[in-house]
Amino acid sequence: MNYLSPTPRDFYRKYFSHFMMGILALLSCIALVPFIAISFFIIQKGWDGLSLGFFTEIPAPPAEGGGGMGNALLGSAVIVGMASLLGIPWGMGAGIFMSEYPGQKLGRILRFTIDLLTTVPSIVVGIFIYHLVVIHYGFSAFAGALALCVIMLPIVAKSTEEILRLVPQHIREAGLALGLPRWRVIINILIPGTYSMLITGVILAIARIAGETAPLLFTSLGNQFYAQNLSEPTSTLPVQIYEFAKSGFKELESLAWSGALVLIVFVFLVNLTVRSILFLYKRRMEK
Amino acid sequence: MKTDTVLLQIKNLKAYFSSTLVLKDISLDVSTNKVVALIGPSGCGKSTFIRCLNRMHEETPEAHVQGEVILNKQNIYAPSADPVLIRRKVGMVFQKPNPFPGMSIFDNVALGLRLLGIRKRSVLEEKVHSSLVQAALWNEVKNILKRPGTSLSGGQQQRLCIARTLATTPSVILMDEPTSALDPVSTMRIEELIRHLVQTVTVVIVTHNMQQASRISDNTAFLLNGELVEYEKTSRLFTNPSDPRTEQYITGRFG
Amino acid sequence: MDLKLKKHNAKIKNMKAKKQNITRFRSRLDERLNYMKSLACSMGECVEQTISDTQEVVFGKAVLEQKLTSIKKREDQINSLQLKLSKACFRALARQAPVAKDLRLILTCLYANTDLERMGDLAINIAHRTKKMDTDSSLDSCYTTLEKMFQSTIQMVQLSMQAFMKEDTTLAKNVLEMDDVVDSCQTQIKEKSKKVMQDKPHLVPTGVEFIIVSNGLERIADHSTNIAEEIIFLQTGYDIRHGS
Repeated sequence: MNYLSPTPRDFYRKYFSHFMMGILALLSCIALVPFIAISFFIIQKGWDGLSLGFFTEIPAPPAEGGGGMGNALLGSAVIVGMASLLGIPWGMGAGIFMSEYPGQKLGRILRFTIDLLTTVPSIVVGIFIYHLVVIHYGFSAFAGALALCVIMLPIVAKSTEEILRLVPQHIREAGLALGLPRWRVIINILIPGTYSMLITGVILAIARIAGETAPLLFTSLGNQFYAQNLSEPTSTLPVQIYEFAKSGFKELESLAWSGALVLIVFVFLVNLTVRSILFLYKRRMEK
Repeated sequence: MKTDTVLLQIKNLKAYFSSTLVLKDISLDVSTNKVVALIGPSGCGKSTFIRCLNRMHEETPEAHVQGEVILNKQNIYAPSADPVLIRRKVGMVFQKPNPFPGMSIFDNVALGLRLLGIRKRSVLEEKVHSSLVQAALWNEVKNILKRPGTSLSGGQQQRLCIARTLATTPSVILMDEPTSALDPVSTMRIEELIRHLVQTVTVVIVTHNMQQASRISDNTAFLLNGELVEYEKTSRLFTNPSDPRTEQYITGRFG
Repeated sequence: MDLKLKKHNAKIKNMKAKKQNITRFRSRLDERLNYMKSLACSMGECVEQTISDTQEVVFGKAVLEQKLTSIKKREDQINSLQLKLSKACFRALARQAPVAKDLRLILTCLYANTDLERMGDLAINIAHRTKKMDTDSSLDSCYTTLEKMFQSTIQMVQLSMQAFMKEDTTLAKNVLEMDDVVDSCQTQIKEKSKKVMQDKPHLVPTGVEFIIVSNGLERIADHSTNIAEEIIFLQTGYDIRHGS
């Protein structure tokens, strides 16, 4: 008998393998269902409400119909922009410190704190800023930005740290061996070398805070009109979706669906951009 | 050996990782324009030893050094000595070729020069050119200077790293198993290159390949368990070593 | 030189003391080295037997014609052994990259190879000459000295081969000492046969043969001395030839 010829047990094993693979494939298909359902649902409900007016006009009173979410889009952009302006350098600084000075006691404490901060529910952050800022100065875009900044900080710090840690130690040593001081190694070698990946981390953090609702309820509140300055209550897309969806008016609900569609498309686009950057980066590295 | 000028004098060097003694009182002299090879089994302290010569050892957390390393009459472990300045005089090439990621071939070589305050494009170009020529890489990369350094082959990358080190005109180059990740042809090119380089610099090289040590070095040091067992002319060490432990090691006997 | 040897002996002692848990990871090289040594020793044996055959013929214990076939056979054997040994050395050098003592052993084999081949040639040359030798009462002391010379030479060849097999410097040094004995025998034979030739012109051809045979033996002994010196080089790494 050929010593490679299968025994009955081998047949059984083969079919069992096929069977298990089938189950896994089925489960994977089921996992796709929520995603497809959500997309389909939101596109169906929100598509009709999309028009140029949606992006520029303020919401019309429920009885009139029409109107748009221009104020919320602008508010979101401003608040997310301010939060990023503050949170990105801050978070990256912390990330660089954690990755490049691991021996320092401060670094260890920082890493622990940042890990804790990541797990703090966003609504708690909202309450915190409410007590710290809103009680004294009232609801404002500033307060909203501050709350988002606190949420963004650990994400950016963590991703920066992890990306910098991907750079092999001998690259740093090569820089040091050339006679570069440590800060020069960071600025001239590590950051340029991981540029696109760092940006990727930042973009993902922005996408994350763009969808935050809970902390904004306590801080920037909302506004039916365009906010006149940064210290006024300001409407943001997630909060306005929330408000309109529970308002009970059909016109406002349809605006909320359109808003949700815009939000989801934004997050998709961000993810797509990030993926293509990563893909291009990888290809460049491999070349 | 006595008539040569001593460039690097190591006196009673002890290196620690936290409280573990990894180099036990090593003293040896390195002469100008010579290749010194360090051989010994893994974990004998070869890499640690050369990392002490440009104060790289202390970059590892909890590592410290005792003793003196005298480079051109100055103790690099004197309290006033600046590691950054020392490393510009004592360059280093690593086991894995490590061009800086995302940096072009040109920038890889020019980085050290820019650090020294050279900004003028023509001067930079001239120096990058001469370093690449010296590292025997110019002909292969002269048309692709803008491409990332990581796009080169392993052997080319290692020569790029050597060029990068040469750009700042160090007097000593330390090499930590520079060919262990390379194929035989690239290895031979690097070995050939090292023999050319010693006309202008002094090379201290760690190698696992005893044949390589015997091919390229003038003097060889055999380290065992953090101890310097024998430091001799290479031609002597590989034909008639004076210490039985050296003999055992180079002829393939291990205790 | 003595100081160096002393140092070397201390080194060997040291090595032996530490020997218990040392493993050598060069079994293939070791196998080749042993093979080379055995080839060299076979050559040594052939040389030695050729010389003793010659001795028997010279002293009338055998007839040359009886020995001719075995002498011829040994000549071929030595030649083929020489080829084998040089090939083995060449290959081991190319493939095993030997250093230190391994390298010295291969070099010693190569040197000894040439020496042994020359020794074989010389022994065979002497054997072929022996048929023309006469006996006479005035030649008796010559014969005695020649016998001593034969014995010493054979002993030197044996001893140098033993020293090589055991890599023993003491035996090798004994060989060096014995060379003096052979040398003095040769001088004696030269003087004596000169005298005999002057006194009895009809014995001139035999006298010349005496000188040629003793010369040959001296050369063989010289080659043994070379081998002994090479063994000292093998063990210590110092080349003691030509008094250096």
